[in-house]
Amino acid sequence: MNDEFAIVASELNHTFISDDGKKTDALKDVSFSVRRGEFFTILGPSGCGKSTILRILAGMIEPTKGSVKFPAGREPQNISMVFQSFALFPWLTVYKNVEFGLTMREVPKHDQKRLTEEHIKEMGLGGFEQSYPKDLSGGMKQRVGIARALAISPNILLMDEPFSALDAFTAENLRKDMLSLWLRDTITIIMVTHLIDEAIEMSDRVLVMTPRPGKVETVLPVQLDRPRNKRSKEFFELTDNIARYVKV
Amino acid sequence: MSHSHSLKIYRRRWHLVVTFAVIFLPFLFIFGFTKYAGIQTSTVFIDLGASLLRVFSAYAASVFLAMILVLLINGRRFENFFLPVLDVLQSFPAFALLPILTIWFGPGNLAAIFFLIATMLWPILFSALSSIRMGRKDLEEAAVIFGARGTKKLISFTFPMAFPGLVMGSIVGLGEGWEAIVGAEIIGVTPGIGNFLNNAAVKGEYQILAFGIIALLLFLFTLNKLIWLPLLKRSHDYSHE
Repeated sequence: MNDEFAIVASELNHTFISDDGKKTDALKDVSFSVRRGEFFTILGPSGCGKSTILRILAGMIEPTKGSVKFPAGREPQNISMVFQSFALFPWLTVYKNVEFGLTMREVPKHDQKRLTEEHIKEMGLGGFEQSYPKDLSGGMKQRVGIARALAISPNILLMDEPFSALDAFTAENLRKDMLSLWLRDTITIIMVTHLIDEAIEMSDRVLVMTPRPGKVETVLPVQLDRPRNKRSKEFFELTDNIARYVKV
Repeated sequence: MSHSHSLKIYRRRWHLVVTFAVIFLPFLFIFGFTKYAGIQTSTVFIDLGASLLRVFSAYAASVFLAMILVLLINGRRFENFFLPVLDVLQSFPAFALLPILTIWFGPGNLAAIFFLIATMLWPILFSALSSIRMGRKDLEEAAVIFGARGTKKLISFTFPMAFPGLVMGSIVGLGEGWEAIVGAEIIGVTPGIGNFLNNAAVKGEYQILAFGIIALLLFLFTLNKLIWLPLLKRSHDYSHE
């Protein structure tokens, strides 16, 4: 297999069985590959199994059929995740939340301190180290979520609708910050979203899914220059083009 | 900045004053009323202390047992089998156990403590369990993906998740525990505050009976104010992002 790929997912199938024994096909023969350092987006309406794919990639659930391989994985895989709901630990301060993954991985103490402080500063959280999540705004919470995810220096970052719970202004700012971080570090990002705009603004390639059962409709490259102008003609054309593939 | 700083110190000082007042209130009251009624102060303290010791040791054992059961049951395959069984067990009236326990252990502290465990274990166990089971799924996902496994997960995830339920269950359990121990002491476990109250009632010393009840109330109020209210507030922080 080729070394340029960070993730190769082959024919992922997933069937949920509810308590009364009813079977629901969430995913049907989903295959795709993500290049190293690529910003890859999975786009689709809610209920098309996007989040299920992320959880399979993260190893949190086993697919009913199919496999996930990490060809570029000579170094140990370090997969991290940003959640739509932030999923911060309410009993920990901002500092301790960011430090969490480092503590669990038993990173040496002085590295823990350095990395935690670095990522807190990088995400603009300085001064909030001792605050608890409940005292932060949505945007600040997601900054903590991103700092926590990046602190473990992941080579693959999964983002599950990371900006969907935020207001438009906050989301726009955070998208910009996220993009500049991605451009600076070599990190493979797989993002899930239901917003066509967001997908075009950020990604190298967009995988469009159809719901019930979730299938790959198409994979489209986004070849616009960065930083992308959301009000350009090309942007609108691409939006229309992708919209034709999105079925609800 | 300096203003809020001075405010903090003021609050702390005030808090200290209230705390000391609350600690001394029941003792002062007991001292006062025993002198007034002409009974020995030490007997009331011994009675109250004996009850407290029983409740406290049974509480510690209940928390320990509940945590072990939570760890055994939570997330296992036999969870759906175990829960209904425990539910049947908890609905068994603990007072019905008291005669059997008295036959086994004799009419003493051991019988009383086991009786108290049978009373207090259930609210603690069930609230701790439900606190974990009803917890947000995404938090567990985050814990796992950031590397919490085995003992590490237990300490840094499962315990904090169970904490709010543990506090809630402890408050309910201790309430039931005090009710149960006073009942048991009225029936015959000695010495104890329930015993003291019963004696006063039997002898027709209604003033002493009233004073005793007030002393017990003050004492429980102090425990709540100093231990459980702060923990309840803290547990609120544990469960709200």
